[in-house]
Amino acid sequence: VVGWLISHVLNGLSFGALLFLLASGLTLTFGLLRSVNLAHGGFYLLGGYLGLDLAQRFGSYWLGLLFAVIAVGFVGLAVERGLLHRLRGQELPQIVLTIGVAFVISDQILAHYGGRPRTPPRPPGLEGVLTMGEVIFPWFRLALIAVALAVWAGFWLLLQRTRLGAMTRAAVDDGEMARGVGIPVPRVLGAMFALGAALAAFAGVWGGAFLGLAPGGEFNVLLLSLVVVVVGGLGSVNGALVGAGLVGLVNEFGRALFPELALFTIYAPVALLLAFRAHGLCGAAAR
Amino acid sequence: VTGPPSQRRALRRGLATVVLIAVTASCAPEEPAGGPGDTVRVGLLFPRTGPFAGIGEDQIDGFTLYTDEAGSALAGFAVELVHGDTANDPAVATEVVERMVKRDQVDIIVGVISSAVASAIGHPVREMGVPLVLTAAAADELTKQEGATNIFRVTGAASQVMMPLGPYVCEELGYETAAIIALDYSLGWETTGGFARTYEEAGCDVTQELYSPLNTEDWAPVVQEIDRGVDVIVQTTTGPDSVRFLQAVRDFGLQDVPMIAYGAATDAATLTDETQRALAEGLQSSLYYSEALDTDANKRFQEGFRAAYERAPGVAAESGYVAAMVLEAALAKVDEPTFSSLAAALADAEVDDAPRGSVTFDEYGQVRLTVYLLEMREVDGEWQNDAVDVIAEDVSQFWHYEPEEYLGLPSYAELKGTWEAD
Repeated sequence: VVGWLISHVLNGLSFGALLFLLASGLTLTFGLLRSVNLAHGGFYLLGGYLGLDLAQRFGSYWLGLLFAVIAVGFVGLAVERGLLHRLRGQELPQIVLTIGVAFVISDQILAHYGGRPRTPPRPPGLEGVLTMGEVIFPWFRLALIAVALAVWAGFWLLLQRTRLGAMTRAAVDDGEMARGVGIPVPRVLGAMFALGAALAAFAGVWGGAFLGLAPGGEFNVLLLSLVVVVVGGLGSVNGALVGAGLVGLVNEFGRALFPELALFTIYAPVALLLAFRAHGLCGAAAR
Repeated sequence: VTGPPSQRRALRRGLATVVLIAVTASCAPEEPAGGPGDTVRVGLLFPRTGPFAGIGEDQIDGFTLYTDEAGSALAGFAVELVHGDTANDPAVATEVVERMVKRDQVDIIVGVISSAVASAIGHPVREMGVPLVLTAAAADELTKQEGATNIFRVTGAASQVMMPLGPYVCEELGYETAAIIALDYSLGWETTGGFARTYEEAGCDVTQELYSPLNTEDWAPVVQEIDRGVDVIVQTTTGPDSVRFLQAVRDFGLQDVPMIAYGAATDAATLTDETQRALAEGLQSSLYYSEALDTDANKRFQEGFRAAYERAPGVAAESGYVAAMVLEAALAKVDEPTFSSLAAALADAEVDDAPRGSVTFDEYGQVRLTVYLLEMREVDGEWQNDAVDVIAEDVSQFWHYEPEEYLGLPSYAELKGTWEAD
């Protein structure tokens, strides 16, 4: 029973870790835009396909991963600078625009790579399985947990301890005043948006390795990470971490104990939570 | 609309142009109906995105390969293809069917992956009488309760493929206990149910049943629940779920338990590249076609497809190809293709040299099958589903049951969850 519990907890956390990678970028861009960036799933998918393609071209997994993440970061930058910044402060048009971007990305992938599902490889060195008594657990999933924690720590340091982080917080809180004291607000926001997109691309390459990639599949993942963001509280990176762990575990035990009620077991607790705490676990109360 | 007047005017003019183009396009003169006897219009109805897009692409390519090989003419009729996207949505597909028949004047419709879509378009198809050749949708009732004289299926009904497996696994392979893992919808219930019914009749025992919804993102929670003590795991997964399931099986060290899959789980359209196929190493499956079948017809098909599309074809591509062969056989007996003459000719159509072997329909329009035991292994340096044994030949969709008796049995949807109990 202990072994059963440990392996399910570990697995729930590893799925939660993947959700955190996506949700942290989403929650970051939410903070910037004040609306949900629905193109986030598109960046995830694009990152996954590019990573797979480039890894095959270069013959090196890590080079492929690196270039895919950088490339999608630039795509994110282009989307923010070229399109989104024109609509700053207009929430509905931003949503419509980002969903349009998501469709364009999805269709481009369909045109270039075809509709068949693909699976990016596991990172080299992480293919094996950890066996400890009853507990059998793949290294790759364990590594995912470590990566998620590292990303969370990185975010915290970046936002709280660096000049860029301070400028970002200033730009988000009061753009006009920030400009007034000489902070290059557009450049800061663009950089953070690009960071969010790059993070989604990373999640695409790693997450794709156990969820698979297919055009249209990004919306399933986006939906789950939206749930994470809503549970954790909009705009809060700490909230995303807590929310991701929670959603991962609920999903895991729901599927293990009542596999046929899988969708119910994930959305029912969310509905309950929102009924009693509408701003999420760590979210600030309504502005 | 805001902005200076000149900009507004430009915008208005732009809008007017777009509207004008849209109107004139929709008023374009329609092509003459049906064609004067020497053209046959085929509506290819497949999803172009979503979980079944890979299968759809393979089927379209399989069909087109045969018509291209035949010089874009079947039995003397020039073939004109009309493409339609089901978007894997019953409502969308129903509209496309109406449009194909009324506007595009197709003589026959070929396609449909999802059984839900097939079931939805069944109504307009029966009403308008247009012949429909199903190339993938596997739900049993499509050629039973929902069958019609103008509906045919060149692929296996879900339980048809799996019923021969029950006694084979119990008696020939000697596996006495089985765990069933399946997608939680009709395909999963009917395939594993067909197996469970004949497996338990043969005296063996299903000891565990696990079902998980289509598009389960993470299969690990389910896989960890599988009882490692069973003799064999029998599973039905399709599309991306199949890859994720096999990945989880490998991640959690279950590949040592023997596993037999419903054939779609390991087809080339499902496991699309060598990495994915390598995941299924040693996985056995039950199916009516193997890409490694050693016949001239199959080699011709395999080589032709690879030359044309630079990838390996599996049963999905083969079924598209067979649909074109069956259509050719029917057209050979028709002077002028009308809905009723084509449907009648299809019912009697016979093909001897299909890649899988011979093809004939039963009185319900369902194809009869030879069911093989396949195994994923390396053949000539690439991963293929190699046929290791013949499970049964000339299998009817009712297996050894009388049609009336079989149709009177409780449905697999009702029986789901009861197999492990007794």
